[in-house]
Amino acid sequence: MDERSLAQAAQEGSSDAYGRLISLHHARVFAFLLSLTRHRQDAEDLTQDTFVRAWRNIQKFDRSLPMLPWLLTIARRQSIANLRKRRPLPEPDWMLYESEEPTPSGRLWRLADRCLSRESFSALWLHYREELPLKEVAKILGKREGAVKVLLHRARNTLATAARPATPPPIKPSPLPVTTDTMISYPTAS
Amino acid sequence: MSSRSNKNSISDPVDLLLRERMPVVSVPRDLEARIRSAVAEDRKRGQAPIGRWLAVAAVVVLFVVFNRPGEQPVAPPKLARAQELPVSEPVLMENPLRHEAMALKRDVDRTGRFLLDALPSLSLVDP
Repeated sequence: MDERSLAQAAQEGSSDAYGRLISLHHARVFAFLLSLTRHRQDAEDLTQDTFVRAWRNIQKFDRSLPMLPWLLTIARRQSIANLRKRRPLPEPDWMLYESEEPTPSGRLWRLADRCLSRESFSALWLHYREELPLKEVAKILGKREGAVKVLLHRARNTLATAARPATPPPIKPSPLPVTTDTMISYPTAS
Repeated sequence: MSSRSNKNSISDPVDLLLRERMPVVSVPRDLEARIRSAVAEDRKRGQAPIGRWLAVAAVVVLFVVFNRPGEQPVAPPKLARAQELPVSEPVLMENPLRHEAMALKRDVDRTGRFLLDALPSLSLVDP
């Protein structure tokens, strides 16, 4: 059974079909929420709330469209509502690649997690990790496609700057042949 | 325009690195079961309202039946023999509007007098 048939069955009231939709999408919804909240318990609770809310509004879902962007839109709204309710915010307890030595790619993702705003990081996550087209990313983030393009461009530039090594570049060797007899005299202050 | 930006993004090393290896997130094992049970619970709750409203209505009816003021038996009330009212001296109550009536009467008198005084002056008006 494909996603569309499952969605149709769920709209007709089949909880089994909705259960299979949960199996299909819960991991990606959780990962997105974890990237937003950086807090495992919050992300778990929000994933649960997202699927409950989606079930309540399943009749509003347009079956001609893929379901993941719809779920991610709900998830993001839930996360914003949670942010408004929870003050002060809990300390983050999650970080990308926390348990392994990252590759250059992993290091870049970790850098993105640290130095980008949550909005830019979400755009990056949705476009690169979830491989969603810009149009879908824009819909999820409630922005125009052009704005998302700019957001991603700036995020890449920020990452390129941040990833550049902080040490100064090595000094180029002098073009003149240097021999042992060469005396270098410096001008004196007298 | 779009092809140019696409080419740029493909040649961008940051873009390539971001696509090279996606971040992996470990999902708790019981998360799916928790979501399913939460949805099932919400579904049950969604079905409850009609039954809940019926229960509330029944409780209200029972409350009204058993807690009527006086708690009189359901049997028809006995007809009591009409007793004659004790004859007492007529109570002379002062009319609360007496002052108002007097004032009105005074106003009427004044108005009448005014009109009577005004009548002769009418004859002075030229036709």
